[in-house]
Amino acid sequence: MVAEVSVLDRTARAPARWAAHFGLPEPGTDSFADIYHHYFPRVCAYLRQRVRDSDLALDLTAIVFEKAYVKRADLRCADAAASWLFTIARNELASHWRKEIPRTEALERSARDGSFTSPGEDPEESLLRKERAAVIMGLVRKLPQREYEVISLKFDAEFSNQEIASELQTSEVNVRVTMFRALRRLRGFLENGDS
Amino acid sequence: METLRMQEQKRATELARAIDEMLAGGDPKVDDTELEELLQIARMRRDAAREAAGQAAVYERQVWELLMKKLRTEARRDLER
Repeated sequence: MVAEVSVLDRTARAPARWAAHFGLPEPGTDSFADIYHHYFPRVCAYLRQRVRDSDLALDLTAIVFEKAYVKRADLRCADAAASWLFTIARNELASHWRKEIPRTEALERSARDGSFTSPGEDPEESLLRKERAAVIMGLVRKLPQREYEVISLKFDAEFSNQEIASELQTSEVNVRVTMFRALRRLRGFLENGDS
Repeated sequence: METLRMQEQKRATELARAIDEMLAGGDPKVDDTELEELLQIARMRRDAAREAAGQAAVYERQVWELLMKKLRTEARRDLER
């Protein structure tokens, strides 16, 4: 255990060396640090879209990667990393909603909280980008739950249709049709001037 | 009824193919006005997701350090047990 603390101390400064110590399949290429680096933005964006609160999304992302670290032995190959991580993320979301921070409170917080802010970015450009993103993200939230979930896994997590089907325990055909109907519904919202 | 469902599946498959191509960095074309409109909405949603992911990336190091701190604390707690 003394060695474990020492390893963690070292890896905090040099995360890329984790794999050699923690037994992931191919050290150096599939390490936990590499997985973290690769998936952090997508996991965080996915959670941000779901909870609509940047601080909460960051907290949940930290919890997801902590759980992923604890369960790292369950990951048998790097190809399954996305599905493995987003399963943890979805479970964490479900757990969060069960404990709930009441939903109304989360929504109130989100109303005050536009989005993540990027230090050093031109404020005008940042505002325009956020407005465009906010319109489409706002409309997506009006979709029925199943369509919302498929769209989020497709575009936030960038899952393949097969991965979505596996995650939602349905068929690929059903995923494709659900996505088609969701985009049609979004087009309807846009045509009606919903926001 | 069956024909309508099959038509929908066929169009959904064509759209899904185009979306996969788009997400892989391509510039897919579809030979259908409605599918082109839906693909345009898919582009907007992809851009919004990537914008959010880009903004989230700023916090990568911060969350990593938080995670490391937490894991170190737990490792120390285990040692004390």
